[in-house]
Amino acid sequence: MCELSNESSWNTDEAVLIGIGIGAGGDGGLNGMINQNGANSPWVQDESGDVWETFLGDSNAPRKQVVLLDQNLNHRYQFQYSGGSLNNGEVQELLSAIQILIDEAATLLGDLNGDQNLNVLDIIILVDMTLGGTEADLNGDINADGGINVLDIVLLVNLILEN
Amino acid sequence: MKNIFISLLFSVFIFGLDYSLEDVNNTSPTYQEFIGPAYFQSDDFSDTNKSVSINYFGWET
Repeated sequence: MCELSNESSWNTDEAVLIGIGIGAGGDGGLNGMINQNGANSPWVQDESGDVWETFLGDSNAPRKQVVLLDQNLNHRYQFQYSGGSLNNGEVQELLSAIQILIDEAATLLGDLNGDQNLNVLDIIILVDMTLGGTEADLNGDINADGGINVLDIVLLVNLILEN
Repeated sequence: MKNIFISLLFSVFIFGLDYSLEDVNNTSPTYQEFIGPAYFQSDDFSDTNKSVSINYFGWET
């Protein structure tokens, strides 16, 4: 029994597990860690192989892979497994990575409009804060120097470019 | 050329990895809906935004 199939293993208010199959198979073809009694995670079929191509780089990539996307839909972690279930070490590694992304989303530095994304909209707000048009928010104090200024704008741009 | 570069740059900011495929699990709350990572970040799904997606590439035919 793989713990990943047990939704109590991670904070399901913050993370969703989506099973992605390839080819024309239906429910009868499901196997692996989400194919457990009572599993209520969504399953989809990628008949064209486009999702496998986009996420894994090859529509013929080996199955039993997990890709974790962060709050910006960026590819952050990828794991390849073998066998019918995960061992304890693999489970812990995966759950740790999930928790890291959840924690990041909860305290997203620079997310000034509260949409859980860092993008150009936050830059616009930060520029306005720097000019005094918007009340200063310490979440925009990227370098933690106690003030909002052009240095924070530069750092926020860098954060976005790194994502 | 500069405008094209800026457009590409912003599209990277705004659009991440996503897909929209039909949920075929009849025990899932989103059965027969077209879902993907971005779907669960939407206010349309319950009252909860799910900021992280675990995409499991798991079966083949």
